[in-house]
Amino acid sequence: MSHLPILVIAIPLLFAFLIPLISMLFPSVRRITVTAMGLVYAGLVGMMIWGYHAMGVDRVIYPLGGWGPDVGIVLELDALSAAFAGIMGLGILLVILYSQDYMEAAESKYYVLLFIVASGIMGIILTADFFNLYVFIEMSAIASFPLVAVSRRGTALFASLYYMVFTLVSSALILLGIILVYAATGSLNMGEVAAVFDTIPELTRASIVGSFVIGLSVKVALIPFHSWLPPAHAEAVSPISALLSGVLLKNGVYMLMRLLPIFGFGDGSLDVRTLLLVIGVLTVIGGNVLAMGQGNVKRILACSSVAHMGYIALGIGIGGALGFAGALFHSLNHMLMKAGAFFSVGCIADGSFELSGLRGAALRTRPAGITFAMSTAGLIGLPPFGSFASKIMIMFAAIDAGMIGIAAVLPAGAVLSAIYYGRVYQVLYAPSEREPDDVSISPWQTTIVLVVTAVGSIATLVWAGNLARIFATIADYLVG
Amino acid sequence: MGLSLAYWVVLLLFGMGLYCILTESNLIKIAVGINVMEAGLLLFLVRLSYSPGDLAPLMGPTTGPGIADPIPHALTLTAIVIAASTTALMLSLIIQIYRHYGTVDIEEIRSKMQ
Repeated sequence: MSHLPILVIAIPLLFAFLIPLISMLFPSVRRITVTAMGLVYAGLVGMMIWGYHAMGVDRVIYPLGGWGPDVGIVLELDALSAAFAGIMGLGILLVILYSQDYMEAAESKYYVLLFIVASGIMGIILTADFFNLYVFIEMSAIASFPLVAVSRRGTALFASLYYMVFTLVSSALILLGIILVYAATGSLNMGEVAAVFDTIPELTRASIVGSFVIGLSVKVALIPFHSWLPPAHAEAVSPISALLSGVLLKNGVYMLMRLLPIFGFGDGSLDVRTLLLVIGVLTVIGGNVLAMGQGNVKRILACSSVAHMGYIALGIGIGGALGFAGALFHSLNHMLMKAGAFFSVGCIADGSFELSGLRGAALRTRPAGITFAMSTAGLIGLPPFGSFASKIMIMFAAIDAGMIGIAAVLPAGAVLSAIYYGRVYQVLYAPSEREPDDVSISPWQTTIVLVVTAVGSIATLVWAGNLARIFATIADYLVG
Repeated sequence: MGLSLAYWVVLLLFGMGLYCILTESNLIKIAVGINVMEAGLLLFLVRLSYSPGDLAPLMGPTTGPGIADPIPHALTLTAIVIAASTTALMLSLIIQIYRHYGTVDIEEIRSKMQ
């Protein structure tokens, strides 16, 4: 295990600031260097997860600078952190590899910001300290604002600012929650707070849980706090859309899963589970209905992200290990499929993503035309794709808990999404009058990324049994 | 325990900031609103650690009754740095938006986007 927990945070930060230096001194090797850095980052994350797995303990505590949890800040790696580190690490690696062809002319700043996001995300996942969590949230968020505006178009600049205002308000609410936690318990260590949380007065407890849940709902874009998401995800360049949807939304999901059990789901003072169920139903239906009214492929994908965050909120809200495990599993699937869909659509369309101008476009691109169909079919929830399994898991959790109405929302959402993706297919796969030999083939590195996402979304169904067992163990450990 | 004046000021600042963000259509005013809201939070953090008459934890005993808690001050300092950098980034984005659209009013920008 050694020093890997701090290395996965520190090394990408070092890389971030080495990139401008390298591209200034040796511009010809920038591409290969960035690829190597991405692979090293993913390798470190993989080694950390492997090391954790090999140790066979519940949690690994890494005291920073040798100071224990009583005086210092510690990093903590447990099963939930390991699972999310895997999901996010893979997502970041895919974004970095895809960016190199797609953003060939990008300035070095682009990769600087990307690696800062990579570092901040690992910080969020690994820290066991509330205030440190806030710092890492802000670190990954601040680096992502300029990434949205990277195309420098007016609409992208405005979308970036809009996203920024919402995110800053949500961080302020999270900071308010953290301040209240410190005032009520005198500690910022998550373990210590969890131990004494029951003894806090009822009203304080409700305010803490309330500010965290609202703050995180804005981050995860649950309706009614979703309006920042469609413009930001649609106006960003395609690899960044994949980063925002596939990776950064999962930040909020991770924090919900990490913090709600610490707060005992606010039992007794504020019923978070019911709140999440109500918001979840609204979000699934609302997100899908929003997507129907859009004429832009990336906006459709963005609105469908809102709906998928609703499925995850339902999984958490249903409570019990099965719902939690389903939500975890769906996070993995959504990362693969939504990132895959955004990557593919970036290859299919150049410049404009309006449906009207994309007649037959998917037939003229290989392999993006095929992977787009696979990723979006996965997003609908069709077999043989992984999200079929995770949605079934969440549905069974709802039936187990006697919430038949909630269980019915999932197939309803799938039908709604089939309608709007059907409309997209009709246009993108329409036979066109153009010459059939007018086919563009993606560069090999992009092709690898596309194939990994598409094959991955099937692999998660093939290994659904094993994955479900792993996620169920994590959920058991978290919610008992 | 009644709320002392400081907590009312915190509430007022936080509420004013949030109201400003939600109702203003001028981008600069929204940036100001976010800063006012954050200022309220930071004041809250500082106020929590101090009651009148407390000593600074510099010399002699550093913890115990009558000594101010130093942790919130360290946290406040960090939060101020974060707030300053977000403000800088936000203002630079607003400048770029102004160059594109020639206005900082949300409604006007929206109508120009159509």
